[in-house]
Amino acid sequence: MSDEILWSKLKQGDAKALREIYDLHICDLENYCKKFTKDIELIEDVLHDMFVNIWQKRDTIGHTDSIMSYLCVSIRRDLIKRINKSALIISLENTEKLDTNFSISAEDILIQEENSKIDKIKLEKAFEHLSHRQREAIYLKYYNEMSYEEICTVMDINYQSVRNLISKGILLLREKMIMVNVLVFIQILQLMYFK
Amino acid sequence: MENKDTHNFINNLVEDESFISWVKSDFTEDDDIWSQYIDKHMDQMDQINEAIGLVRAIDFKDDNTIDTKKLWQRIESNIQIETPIKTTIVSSLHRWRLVGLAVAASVALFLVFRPGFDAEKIVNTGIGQEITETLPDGSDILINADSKITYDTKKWDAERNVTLEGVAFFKVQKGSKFTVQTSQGRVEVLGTSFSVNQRDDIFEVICKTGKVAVTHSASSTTVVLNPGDMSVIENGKLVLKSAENGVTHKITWIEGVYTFQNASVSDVIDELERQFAVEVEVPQGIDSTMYTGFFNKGDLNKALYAITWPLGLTYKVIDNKVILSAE
Repeated sequence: MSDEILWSKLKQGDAKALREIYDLHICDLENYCKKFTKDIELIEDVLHDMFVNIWQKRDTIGHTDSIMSYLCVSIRRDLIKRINKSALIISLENTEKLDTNFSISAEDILIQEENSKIDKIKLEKAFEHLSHRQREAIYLKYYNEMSYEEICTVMDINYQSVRNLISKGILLLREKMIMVNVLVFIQILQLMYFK
Repeated sequence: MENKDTHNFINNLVEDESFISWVKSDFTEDDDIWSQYIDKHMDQMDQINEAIGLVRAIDFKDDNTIDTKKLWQRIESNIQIETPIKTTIVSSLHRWRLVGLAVAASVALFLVFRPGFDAEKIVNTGIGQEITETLPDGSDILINADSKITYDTKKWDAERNVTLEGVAFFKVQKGSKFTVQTSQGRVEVLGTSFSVNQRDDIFEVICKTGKVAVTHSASSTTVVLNPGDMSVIENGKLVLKSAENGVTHKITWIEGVYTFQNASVSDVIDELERQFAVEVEVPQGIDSTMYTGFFNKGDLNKALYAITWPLGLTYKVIDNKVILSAE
C-alpha cells in the first residue's frame, strides 16, 4: 500500500494502519535512533511517545507521502531535545556537538565480487574523517535510501545543503581512501629501500 | 593521481538516485536504463565499477535489540483503540431458524452473483464518504465521495481495466497497461499515481508521478502528462496544462483540501454538499459568481467561513442544512 493512502487511513482512525506503519518502520527507526544514543531505555521511550502521539493527534497531523521521513523528523527532534536536556537553548544545529555514532560497516563480499579497489577497513577509516552531518546525510541516503527531498525534511536543511553534504562527503571519502593507499605504498617503499 | 573528470564521473554516478536504487536493489530496479548505460560506456568500466563498489560498500550495521512486540504492547495499552466487540449469543431455539436463513441467503447470493460467470466488482461511495480499494495486483484507489468504480476480478490478470464515475486517486503498481475508463474518455498508464475527476462533463486528470496518457472520446485526441501536468476539457477540446515555471498541478483532495480557481459558486456548493453530506440553500443570483480559494474537509464551519467570507455572505447551520444569505 502506498504511503499517502496508508497515512490517510491512519488519519481516518484506522488502528490497523498504525500497526502496519509500526511493523514497517520500527527496525529502521531503532537503527536511526542508535546513531544518536546508546541509551536503549531512552530510545524505547521516544519511539513509544511518538507512536502514541501520532495516534492521538491523527486528526490534526499533517499529510505526508513519505512516512519514514515524517517519523524521522519527529524522532530526531525529540531525541536531540532529550539528549540535550541539560542545555538551556536547544538547537538542531547542535548535532555537530553530539556524540553521534554514524559509523560505516562495509560488507566483505563486495571486495572480491566487484574486483574494485574498495577495501572495507580503508573505507571505515576514511568515514571517520567526515563530519557528523555528512555522515547522517550519507546514512539516510545509502542506508534508508531516502530521496534528497526527504533528507531535506528530516535534517531540516535546504536541497542544496543536502546535495553539498553528500557530494563533499563522498568526495572526501574517496580522497581519504586514496590517501590511505598512498600511505601504505610509502610504507612499503620505506620497508624495501630504507631498511 | 586522478583527474577532475574521472572524479566527477564517479561522484555523479554515486550521487544519482536511480543509480543508487539500481545497485541497492541488486541490479533489478531501472536495470534497462543502466544496462544500456554500461553498453555505451564500456571504456569507463573501471570507474563504473568503482562507483558500484562504493554504493554497495556504504552500509551501516543493523543494530536491533529492542523487543518490538513488547514495545507495541506498551504503545497499545496507552492508546484507546476502539475495537467494536461483536458477541452475539444465539439461543438454541433460534439456531435452526438461522440455518434456514443462511440457506436462503446463499441461494439468493448465488442468484445475484452467479459465481463463475460474473466476477464484476463494484465499489460505490456515498455522500461524505471516502473508501480505499486495493486491486488484485496491489494497486490502490482512493475513491472520493459520491463516486463509483467497477472492475472485473477474473479478467484482472489479463487486462487491468477500471471503470470510474466520479473522482478517484490511483496509485498503480508497475506492470502491464492499466486503463481507467470514464464516460468522457480513458486514461492509460503503466505504473504511476494520478487522479481522475469525471463528474458531469468535467474530465480532469492530474499526474503525480510517472507518465499518463489521456484520451478524450468525443474529440478522439490524446495527450501525455508528466508529473505535475493536468489535462482538462475546454470548449469541447482536450487541453494540456503543463507544469511550468515551477507551478505544478497538485492533487489536493487526497489531503482533504478542495481548491478552486475561478470556479462558479454552484460548483463549489456542489462539492461542499458532497463532502459534508449537507444541503445548502443559496441566495438567488449568486450561482454564477466566481470563486477562487479552498476549503478543508475537516471542519464544516471553517469550510463555510472560507467560502462565504470572500463572497460577502453569512451562513447558518441547522442540522444537516446550511443556509447562506447576504450580509
